[in-house]
Amino acid sequence: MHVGWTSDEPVTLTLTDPQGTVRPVYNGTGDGIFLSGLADGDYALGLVGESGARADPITLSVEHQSLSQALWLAGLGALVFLLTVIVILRGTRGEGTDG
Amino acid sequence: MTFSEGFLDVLIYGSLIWCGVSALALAVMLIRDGKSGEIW
Amino acid sequence: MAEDKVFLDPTVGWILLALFSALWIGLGVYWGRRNKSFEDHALAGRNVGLALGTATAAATWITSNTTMLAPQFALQLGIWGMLAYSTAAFGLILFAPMAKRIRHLMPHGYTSGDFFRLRYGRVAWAIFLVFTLFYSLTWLVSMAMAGGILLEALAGIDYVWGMSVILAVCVIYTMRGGLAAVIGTDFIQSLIIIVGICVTGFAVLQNVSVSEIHANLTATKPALLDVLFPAAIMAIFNNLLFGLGEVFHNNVWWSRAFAFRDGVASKAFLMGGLVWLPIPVAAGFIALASGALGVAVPSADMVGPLVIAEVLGGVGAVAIFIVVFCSLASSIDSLLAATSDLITEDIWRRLLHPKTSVEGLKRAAQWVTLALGVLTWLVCLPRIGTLATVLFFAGPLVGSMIWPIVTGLYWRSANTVGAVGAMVLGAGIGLYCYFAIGWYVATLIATAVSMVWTLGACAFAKGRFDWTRLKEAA
Repeated sequence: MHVGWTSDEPVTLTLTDPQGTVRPVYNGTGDGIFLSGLADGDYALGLVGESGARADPITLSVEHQSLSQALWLAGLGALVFLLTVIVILRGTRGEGTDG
Repeated sequence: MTFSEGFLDVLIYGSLIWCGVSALALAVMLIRDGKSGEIW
Repeated sequence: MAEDKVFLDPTVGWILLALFSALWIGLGVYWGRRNKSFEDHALAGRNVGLALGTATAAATWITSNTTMLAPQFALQLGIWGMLAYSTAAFGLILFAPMAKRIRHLMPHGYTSGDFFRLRYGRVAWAIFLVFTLFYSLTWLVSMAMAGGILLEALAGIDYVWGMSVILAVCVIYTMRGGLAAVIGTDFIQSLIIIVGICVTGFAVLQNVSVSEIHANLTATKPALLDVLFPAAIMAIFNNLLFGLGEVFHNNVWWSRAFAFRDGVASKAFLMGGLVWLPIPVAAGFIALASGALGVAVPSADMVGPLVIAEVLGGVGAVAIFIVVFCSLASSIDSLLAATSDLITEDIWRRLLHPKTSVEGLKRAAQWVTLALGVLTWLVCLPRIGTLATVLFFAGPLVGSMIWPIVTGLYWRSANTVGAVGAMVLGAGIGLYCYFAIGWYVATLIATAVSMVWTLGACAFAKGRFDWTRLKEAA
């Protein structure tokens, strides 16, 4: 996920995780950062300028797709893939005859 | 459940070494093909 | 703005570009002198050996996407993202036995279009041509655009100039040298890419250890290490089947099956797949190191160059520039050659001018290559960012062709109703799911639907195909 901002001074971006731990995720003069890999839960993002100017914090809710749906799809994929492999390998063994 | 450090170690070093080996293998195969005049 | 950050002095970029352009064109012209007929031009005389065969299979499959998108995948989907990307190697590995079968069934074949026409008739052939041309052209456009964008980001070379130079160089040496030039340059390019990735990978590990990377990920990006990361699990088989569909249908791979010497084809594809297998991990893991190295990543698609430039400075920037240029060229040239051969053989010769001489066909193929290059250039010129994403529509199209091709090669009972229905239904339902559910199911559902239809049609089939009908004389 991309987080962007506009500022004419160096900024520090902090992320507060669902347990309330605060950690800095960015420190510098850029105008955006890419965040990924967070676990499920509610986060808060805070942006502070070098001069102490403070932007309104934004909250961020992370919810990953359902695991059971993902596993069903993976199962279907595995089945299709496996059958494809079987057709090719059986065909290769019985080459020349009807597979 | 997370991927362990050991797994990451094997994965990263394994694939880098694999890349090195395959580069060597390609070069060796070309030399072998060249010696028997079978490059193309 | 960090996104405009240039890693390399433009002068150095231009010098590198000029050197490699001259090298590829020189080699293309040199190797092209051997080609007399269309068969020499399109299939390198059907006599390519094991070393070149293996290298060309691997190099063509290493696109700019492999070197640039693999880090992005790692950053978004974690360990599973890299592993899911690696599964694309199965496309090549499974094509190995098929390549042997193809050579055996069609000793005089030229293109995958020949197979569809002779095996399933004109309707299936027409659908195949629409699907494959859509896929090939969007792939070509997306790579030429990626070339322009990357050269601009890496060395500050203007988008239009970078894109034009890459495309022009590939068109010139493919036109002059045909498949021989493509395969010859692929060998050099594959070595440069693999060595480049290997060296930069070890260099990154000099600066940060795997345990530091792991500790940093555990603390800040735990989902990337999660064995049960839903988005990544869904991506695995969708990606795998996309790769299978791409390889099985496209003339890029069929023309190589025809071009490799007897007994070489299946070994070369198998080893090409094995050479390719570790590359997404080797190129992708550096993205996972970004946190531990303290590299801020403004946008996911530039994470690879950002980390390498941070760690290795100017040398790293040169290395990445060369690796990216090689991976672009090795795929653009193959796609240009294979698509122009497909158009020459399937449309020009089989539909329009059946009596063209072998020299005439070679000339036609050269002009088609040029025309394809110009068309691609015109489409890329306005730099419409959304165009590259069109490539993802191709997933359902190529997925729906997997079963008609596999059963058509091995089962006598595979038939036209099965093939046409599988392609139309599979692609239709797959595309619907793309918009209704998401990209991560489209290829999977398209393949599943076409599989069910094909199996049904084969079960009810009365006729049995006569394999000798595929041995059409040239």
